[in-house]
Amino acid sequence: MISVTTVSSFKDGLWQQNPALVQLLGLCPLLAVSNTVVNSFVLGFVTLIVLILSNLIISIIKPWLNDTTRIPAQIMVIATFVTLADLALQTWFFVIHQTIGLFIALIVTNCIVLGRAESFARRNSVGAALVDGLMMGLGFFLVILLMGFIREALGQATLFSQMHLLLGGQAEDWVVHLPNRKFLLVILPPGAFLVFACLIAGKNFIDERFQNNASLDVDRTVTGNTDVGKTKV
Amino acid sequence: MSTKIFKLTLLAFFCALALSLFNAFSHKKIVSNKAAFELHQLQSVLGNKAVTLQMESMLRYAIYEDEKLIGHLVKISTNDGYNGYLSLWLGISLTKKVLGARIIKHSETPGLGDKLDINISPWILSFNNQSLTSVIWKVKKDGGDFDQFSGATITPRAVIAAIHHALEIYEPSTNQPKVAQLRPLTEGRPK
Repeated sequence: MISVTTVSSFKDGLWQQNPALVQLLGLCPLLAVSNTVVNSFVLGFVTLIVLILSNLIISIIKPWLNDTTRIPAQIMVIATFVTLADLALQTWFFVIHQTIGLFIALIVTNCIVLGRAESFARRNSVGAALVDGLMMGLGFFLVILLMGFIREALGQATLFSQMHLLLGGQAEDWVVHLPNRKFLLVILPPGAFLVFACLIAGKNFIDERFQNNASLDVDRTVTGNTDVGKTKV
Repeated sequence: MSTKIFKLTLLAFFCALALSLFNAFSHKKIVSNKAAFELHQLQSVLGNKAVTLQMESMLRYAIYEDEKLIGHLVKISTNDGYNGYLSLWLGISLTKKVLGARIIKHSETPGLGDKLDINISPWILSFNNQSLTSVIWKVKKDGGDFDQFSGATITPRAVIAAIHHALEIYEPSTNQPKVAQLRPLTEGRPK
């Protein structure tokens, strides 16, 4: 059941080809709506759902798509799901919709969704497309959530503020007040860019570290000895 | 060619069908959500007192407490903010006292002018219970009684002037034509 494509979808979506940190897609909502944990969570989650559903439907209808009609068809499917998500938010989470409503509609323009539809869902089985949508969406979701944590903690000195908009009255007490001073810059757009840049740098750093360790291991197994770097007598 | 058009149209039909179905299901709830949200916002302007509001126009509501008219909620605006347009809801009692004020829309600088927002600072509450004669309607820097924000004087000045003007021209009479009552507030004010 777990095929090679599925495994590579896991690695690609979450790390190697992470849509936000590596492919640099979906930066508009990523930078604009990641100022608090609640906003990041809602936008990331809605993007994830739309990505999964659009991959699913487009993979199902792929026999009927051809070169001229496929782009309009894909956009139509994505726009439908985004509108449904928008209406759903207005029905069940109205106040959150007032806060980030514009960016829910803009998920249609999020290159991740159209990109995965065009490059993957259109050419792969329904199951593979589902997994791909899930992993790519999760990759984006985790990044935007992380940005939300960092920007809210540094910029507002709180965590989980406004959580009651999502979970109802009791969650109002979930607010964690942090002792640091509020660093205004991270709430503003330039600060979002800088935090994002630090995340990318962090990922590259981790990649390089693991690459160094991996190449040392390769030397050991090839030569059969542990005298790597020692001069031969 | 025609099969392509047909398939695309068919897809469009299904998309439209899905949207109409969901809309039919959710429309009422969304409308009531909107109304409740606006009402909640207006009530919070008055400090969540137990009142009923009756809409007279898009910019004016009559406030009834225990079936008696106690004042009006008016929506006022100004372009004199540091970054331009500011709008706020103002509750005025029949005796021309401020019942409450809340900023609706502004583009002021975060960290400086955004102290207008009640979630950031309680400054806007300093208007509560003030009348035309109870305070001097200027920032402290100009010889008045209202706090200014350090590093942002233009913003509070604009709000003070707007509220003062609204109090001046307020008419409790409720048989007014259903049209915006307040003239642009930049008209005729000393700069």
